[in-house]
Amino acid sequence: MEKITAAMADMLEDELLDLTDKYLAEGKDPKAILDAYQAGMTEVGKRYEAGEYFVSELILAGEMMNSGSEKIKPFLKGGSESGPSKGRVIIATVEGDIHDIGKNIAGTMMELSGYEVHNLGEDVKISKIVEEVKTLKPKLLGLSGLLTLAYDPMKAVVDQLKEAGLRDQVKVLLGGSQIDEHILKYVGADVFANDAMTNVTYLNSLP
Amino acid sequence: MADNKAAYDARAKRFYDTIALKKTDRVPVVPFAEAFPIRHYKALMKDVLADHALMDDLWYRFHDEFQPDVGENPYFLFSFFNVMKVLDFKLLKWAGHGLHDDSAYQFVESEMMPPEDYDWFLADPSDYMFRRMFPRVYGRLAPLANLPTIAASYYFFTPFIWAALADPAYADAGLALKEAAAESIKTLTSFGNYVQKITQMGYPMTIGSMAQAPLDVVGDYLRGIKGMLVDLRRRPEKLLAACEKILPVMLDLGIGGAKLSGIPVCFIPLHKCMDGFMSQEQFEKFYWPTLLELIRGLVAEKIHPYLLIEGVCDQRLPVMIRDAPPGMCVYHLENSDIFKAKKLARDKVCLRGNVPISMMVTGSPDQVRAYCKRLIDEVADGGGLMIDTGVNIGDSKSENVRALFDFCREYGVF
Repeated sequence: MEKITAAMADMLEDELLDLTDKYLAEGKDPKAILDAYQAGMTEVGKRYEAGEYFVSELILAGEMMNSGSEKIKPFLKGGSESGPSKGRVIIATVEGDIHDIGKNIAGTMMELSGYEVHNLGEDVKISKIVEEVKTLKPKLLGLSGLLTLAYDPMKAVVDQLKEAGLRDQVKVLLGGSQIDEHILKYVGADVFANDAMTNVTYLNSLP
Repeated sequence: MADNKAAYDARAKRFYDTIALKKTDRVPVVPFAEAFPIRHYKALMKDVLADHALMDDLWYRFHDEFQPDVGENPYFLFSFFNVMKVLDFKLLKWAGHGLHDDSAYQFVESEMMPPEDYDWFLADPSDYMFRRMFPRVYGRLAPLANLPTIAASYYFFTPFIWAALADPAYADAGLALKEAAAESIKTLTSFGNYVQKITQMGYPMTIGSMAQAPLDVVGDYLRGIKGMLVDLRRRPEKLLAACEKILPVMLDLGIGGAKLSGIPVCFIPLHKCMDGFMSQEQFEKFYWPTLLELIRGLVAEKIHPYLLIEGVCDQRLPVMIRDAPPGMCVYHLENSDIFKAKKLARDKVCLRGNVPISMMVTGSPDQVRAYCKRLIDEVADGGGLMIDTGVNIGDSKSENVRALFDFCREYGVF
C-alpha cells in the first residue's frame, strides 16, 4: 500500500490509477487502498504547507482522489467508507458573491482531513447561514468571498449569530484573497485564511 | 479652455515622466475609479449599465470633484452590457441580469474548452472561436456550432455553407448579430464622445489598449483555472503550445489598440500570476516567457506595458523586475510588498499602488493618510511611483477617497 500513498504524494496519476486497478483485481482490501489514498493526501497537504506544493497540486490531488474513489467504491461492501468525523463544518460564499473555487478547495481539504463538511453553495442568504448554524451546530463556520462586496454580508452573519445567541458556540473563519486583519476585525470573526490549509490547521488546533 | 489644455499637458507630463522614472513636480494621484462614482453619487448599478448618458454624467462629476491626474474611463468596465444582453452572454452575471440591482458584475468561472479540444484550438484558433466558443458563450449564437468549416471553402464550393445557413435556427442568430451591431455602434459612439469631452476637460486618457498574459487567456477563457492548473502536469506541451499560439494575438491586440487610440499604454491585468497558484519553476516556464515576449513586443513599438499584478506576487517580482525594459513599464501591485519591491525596481520599473482595499472600505481617513505617507516617504523617492489603491476604489468610503487625494496632492510634492 505504500506505493499507492507514494504515487498520490508524488502526483503520479497514471501510476496511481493503474496500481489501484491492479490491487482491486488481486482482491486486496478496498478499505486499505482507500486508507492509503488518504495517507497520500495527508502528505500532499503537508507538502503544500511546507511550500513545496501549490494550489495546482491540491486541485490535481482532489481529482486523483475522486477518480480513485470511483474505482474503489463498488468493492466496499456495506462497510463505512470513512472513519468517524472529527467535527462538523459549514462553508458558504456569502450573499452577493458567486465565486466558489477557493471555498470548494478549502472544503475538500477539510473533508479529506476527516471533517464533515456541509457546503451551502454560493450567494447564500444571511438568514439561511444562521439557520443552518442553529440546526447543524457546527464547530466551524467558514464564510467565503472574493469581492469587497462580501465584507458587509460577512459582518451581518456574525452580528446575527450574536443576536441569536449562537456566536459563542461556533468559530467563524473568513476566506478570500481580499480578506486581511482589517476585515477580520471589521467582521468580528475568529480567524482568516488566504490559502487552502489554514482552515485545517486551525480546526486541528481547536479542542 | 487654455487652462484645461495647460492642465492636460501638466498631467500627461507628470504621468509619462513618472513611468520614465524621472523626477516630477509631485507624485501622480491616480486611483482607479471603477464603480466609485456610482456609489459616491448614489446611483443604481443597474441603471448605469443600461444608460451611457447617466454613466458619463457621474464620471464628469467625479473628475470635477476629485481632479485625478489621469482621465478615468468607465467604458472598459461598464458599457458593454447592453451588447452582451442582446447576445445572451454566459461568462458574466451583472446587476439585473443574474445579480441584484446594485451588484458589481461577476465572472462565471467554467471550463469552456475541454482538454480534447486543444488540437482543434492549436490548429485553427479562429475557427475554434467561431464554431465552438461563440456558440458556447453567446446563447443566441448557438447555431454557429453546426456550420461547416470555412477553412475548407476553396474554389466555388461555398454553397454548402450558404445552404447550411438556410436552417431556420440561423434566422435568430442573424437577428442577434444585427441587434448587437446596432448596440455596439451606439456604445462605441458614446465612448468616443466621452473621451473627447474628458480630454477637453484637461484629463489625459492613459489606457490605449488591453492585452493579457497568454497563460491567463488559457486560464480565464479556455480551460478555466482548474483545467489550466491541472494541465501544468497533465498536458504541459499542449499548454505551452497554446500560450505560443495566443502570444501573437495578444501582441496584435496590444499594439493595434494603442496605435488606433493614439495612447501608448497597454493595460495587462494579471490573474494567475500570484505566488500560491503554481511553483516558481512552473511560473518561469509557463507564465513568464510569453508574458515577457508580450512586454518586449509592446516596448519595441514604444508602448508602455501597464501590468496590474493581482494578489500577492512577492516571489514572482524579482524575476519580473529583473527582466523589465528599464523606464518603460508600470507595475501596479495589489497585495505584494511594495516597499520590498521598490528596492529592486528603483532604476527599472515605475510602481503603482497600493493602499489596501480593505483599509479603503472599512478603515479611517487617518489610516489612509498614514499609509500614503509611508508610500511617499519610502516608495516615491524622487519618482517612479503612482498613488493608487491595491486594485480600485470601487466600494471605498468617500471620506477615505477624499483623504487619499487631498493628502497625496499636498504631501506628495517633491
